[in-house]
Amino acid sequence: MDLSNLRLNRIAVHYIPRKAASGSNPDPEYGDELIDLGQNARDILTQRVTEVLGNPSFSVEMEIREDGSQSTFQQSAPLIRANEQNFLEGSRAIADNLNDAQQRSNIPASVLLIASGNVGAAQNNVIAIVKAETQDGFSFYTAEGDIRVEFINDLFLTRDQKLYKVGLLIETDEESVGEELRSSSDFDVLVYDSNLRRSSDAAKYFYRTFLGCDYARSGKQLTKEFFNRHQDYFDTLDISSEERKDLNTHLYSYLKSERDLIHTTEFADEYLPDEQRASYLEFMGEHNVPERGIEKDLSLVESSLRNRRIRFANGVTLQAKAENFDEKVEVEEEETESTLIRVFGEIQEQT
Amino acid sequence: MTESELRRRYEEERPMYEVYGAYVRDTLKREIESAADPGDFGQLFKIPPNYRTKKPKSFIEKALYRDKGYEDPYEDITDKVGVRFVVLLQSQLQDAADAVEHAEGFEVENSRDFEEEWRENPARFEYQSIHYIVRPESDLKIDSEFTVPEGTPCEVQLRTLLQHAHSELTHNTVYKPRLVATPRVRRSVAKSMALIETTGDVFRSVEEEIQDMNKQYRYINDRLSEIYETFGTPEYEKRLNDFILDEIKPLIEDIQFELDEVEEFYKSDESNSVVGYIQDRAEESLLYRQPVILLVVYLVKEHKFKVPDHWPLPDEDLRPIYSHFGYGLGPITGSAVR
Repeated sequence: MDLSNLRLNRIAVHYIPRKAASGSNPDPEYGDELIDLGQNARDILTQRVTEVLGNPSFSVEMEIREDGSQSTFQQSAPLIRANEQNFLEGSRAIADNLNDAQQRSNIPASVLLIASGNVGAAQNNVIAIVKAETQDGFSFYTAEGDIRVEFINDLFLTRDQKLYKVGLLIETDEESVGEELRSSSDFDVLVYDSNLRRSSDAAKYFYRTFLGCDYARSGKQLTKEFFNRHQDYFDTLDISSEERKDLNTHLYSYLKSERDLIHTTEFADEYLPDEQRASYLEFMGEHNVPERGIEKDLSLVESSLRNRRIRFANGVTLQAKAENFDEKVEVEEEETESTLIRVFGEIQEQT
Repeated sequence: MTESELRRRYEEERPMYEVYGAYVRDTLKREIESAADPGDFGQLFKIPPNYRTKKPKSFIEKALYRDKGYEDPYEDITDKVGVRFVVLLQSQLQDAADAVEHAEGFEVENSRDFEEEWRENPARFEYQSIHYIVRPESDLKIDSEFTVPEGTPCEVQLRTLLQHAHSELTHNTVYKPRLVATPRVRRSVAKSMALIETTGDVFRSVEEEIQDMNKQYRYINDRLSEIYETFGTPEYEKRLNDFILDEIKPLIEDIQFELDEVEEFYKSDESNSVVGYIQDRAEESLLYRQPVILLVVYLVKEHKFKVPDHWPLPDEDLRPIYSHFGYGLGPITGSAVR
């Protein structure tokens, strides 16, 4: 999905208070006017969005599941062609939807930005929905040759990606324009929420309850591709068998670890040296491994992950359970004629 | 002429020589500046050009007590006033010499030619510098007070900085009171001169390498400027532009890249939005007025994973370009805050 040249023009802002512990549900505070950001602030807002939705990023391609008249989707789509007054009013209904979706009292208060604009070479219409939590911090300025520091307790949209979530509706087709309800097939959706990466339950209220979306592509095939392309990549490297074995171990650990989304940049963050990063990401890009988050689904790679194998040219195969393979086997020396492998265990049986 | 006659005449004329020296300095400075290129090496003149008139007592000493055998000491002493120019490189020295030899309004005589000297005495290493005696071709009216008569001599010395260092070390102690110049000192001086000449050669090869690189850079910058000029006015700032180009160069060598690709891109409609973006930014940012920014933008588009490793400025300066193309720089560099 092409996120180039993203321009956000009209921006409405509302405030979603924290749920009271007593269970009463305070209403959002609505902004009365569109906000007017200067060019620099607008650029920063755009950067915050492309950093989490762009290529590559941890965003997820989703599709709209809830398209009833009160759904966030049906509230959002008309904003594209709304006049200013209707834009403001429509955006309030979206704030109400978010307020309703947040049922747990541990969700902090947040600022909700709703913006319309355009994206991509085709400059398709978009609606961006950004929910940002606030942060404390300091700012400084110089006055009369001195440095003054000011405390700020309602800072939002800093670079900390844990503190904001984004949904972007991209209108790729105009077929249902003019109909009472828009067709979800006219839209592509991208969602970013750092909670998506570890446990979708914490994220569910945002992408599922509020935005009414779900994963557009099954992770089954993509996870298998991810696994295979990594093995291809390891094969291209001019490294020793022991190093190759380590890389495979990393891949197993990464896939077996507790996470809902997998991503090449995260694999690089955790396991690859900096100098290898660019060529690795490039290889994955060239081999069409998605640049956005992949829903981890091991069903097609389960058997490959169960056992590790080292195969020799003369037909010998060494096989072991994948768990702790590294601690069981070490490739000590390798030459073209022979390989010295140490197995940390005594021989139990021969057949 | 007796000593006191000589002294009186020189003291009378010395103010004229002062004015004359300043005139020669200013005139030749302009000539040399238009002929010699400071290149990448800072100021052309390594020591601010200046003149000096001989002190009366050393004039007298030279005229009568140095065994020079002058027939007419007043006229024969041609360095009553002298001007000195000091440059860094031998090639600049050569250009400066050409400029002096062709200076308009002066008759120029080469009073000491280093090249001629070493051809005659190839095994000797000693004081080098180019000396000229310049004389006005006609009476020179400098201001209402002074007229310099036709033929009045002024000595002009041209040196490299290394030669200057050597002569500062040796001139007063070794050559003038001849007795001080013991064989050991002379040997050391000859050694240092040989070393200076060798260093000069090494300087030259550095200069040639730099010029070679400059040629490549100039070619790239010229092409990029041409493209830039189709939609805006670049403002080339060598330090910034070439600093970035320096870092990016290994990348473009690595990817076997042709500047034609960049040109084609900026000619195509595909570039419309990014050109608008560069124009907007250029109003506020010198970085976006550098020709090299066109290359950076193109490389980001085509090689987003590789560019950050070759970007010499903070990521914050690169992020807007990535954002424009819809690329997440944080995930690419592993610097996302999450």
